[in-house]
Amino acid sequence: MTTTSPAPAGVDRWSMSPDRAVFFSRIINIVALLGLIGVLAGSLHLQFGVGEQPCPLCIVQRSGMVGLAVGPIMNLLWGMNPRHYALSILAAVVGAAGSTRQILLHIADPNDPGYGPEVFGWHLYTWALVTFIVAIVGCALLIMWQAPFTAGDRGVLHDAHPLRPLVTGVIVWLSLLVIIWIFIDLLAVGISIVPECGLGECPDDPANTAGLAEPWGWIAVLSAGIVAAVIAAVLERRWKAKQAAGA
Amino acid sequence: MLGEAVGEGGQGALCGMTRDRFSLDEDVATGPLGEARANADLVAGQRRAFDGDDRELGGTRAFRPWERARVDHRATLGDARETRGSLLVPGAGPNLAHVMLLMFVVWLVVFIGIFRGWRWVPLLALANLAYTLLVLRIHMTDPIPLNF
Repeated sequence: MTTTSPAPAGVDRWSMSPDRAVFFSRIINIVALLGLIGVLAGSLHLQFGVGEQPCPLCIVQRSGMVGLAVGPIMNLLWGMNPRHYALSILAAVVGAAGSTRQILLHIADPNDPGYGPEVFGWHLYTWALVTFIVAIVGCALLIMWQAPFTAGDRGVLHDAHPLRPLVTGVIVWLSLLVIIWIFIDLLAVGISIVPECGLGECPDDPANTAGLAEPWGWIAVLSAGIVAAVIAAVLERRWKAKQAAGA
Repeated sequence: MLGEAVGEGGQGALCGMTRDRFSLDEDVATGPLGEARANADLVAGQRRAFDGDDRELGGTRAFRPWERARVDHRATLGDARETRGSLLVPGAGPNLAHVMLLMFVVWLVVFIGIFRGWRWVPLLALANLAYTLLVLRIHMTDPIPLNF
């Protein structure tokens, strides 16, 4: 007598092979990194284009944003692993602590106008909290999706798909593009701290500087993407040549 | 002379003119002057409440909410650190924990480590998150201006 019941109709239609699950997971991670690039590019535009210098709490939140990117980057380069998502959740919690602190400071005094400009009616630290919460929820949902973790994924640079070289190449290029772009943004954030804060704490209410103004601020910030795209293309070609030599 | 005019007839004349132009009893309560007086009362009330809180805290607050002027944190750093609630030893200068640049230097090492495949990088990332929390904690305990 068997105790297992037959699979309900329709299950096969919705189940996904591990390879395909890894593919879609990579797309999701690339999109997540693009979102983080948008956030970092927006803050860099405010800093260099408009001339709004970041406060200490803004810098703490930027650190949280960069930490948030570590999980998807590990997923793309090392393979899908729930630990990488867990790392992003922890980074989001740290960043959310900073943005919550700043929100509470500014609502404590009813006459406080808030810090910095508003975007769609909310200050940037409010948007940062929304971003961190979305990241926590998103990572939790992705951890619940087990299929990508069972595929033995070793990262975009370690699997060869001879039947789909174009798709693989595009994924590798996109992955490298977003990773290098975030790396360049991180360099810009890090280097820009030196003149503002020196080797110490940043000033609480830093004086604004003359920005590059429109459209040069955006051009300067987005040019990081062009540089990243070129570097990614060079690296992707080298990876492909290495694969061909090894085959 | 002029002093006599102001002292004797002048002042009375000015007061008379003022009384002619404004009905003080009625207009002060509702007009712009009354609004200004109400605002002044509000600010004075806020100031009294704030000073009361401040006395309880030991006079640690460097910022007054009714003074919108920017405060140079570095200028107040020396005195501000010698307060209760600070993580720092009283009288000690800024130390390594205050180097905010360090967060991003460590993130750079983490990123390079991911590219190079260093397996201990997740631990370094965790350590950097803990350091970021420490920076936040220092920021919370320092008697900084309360709005940043």
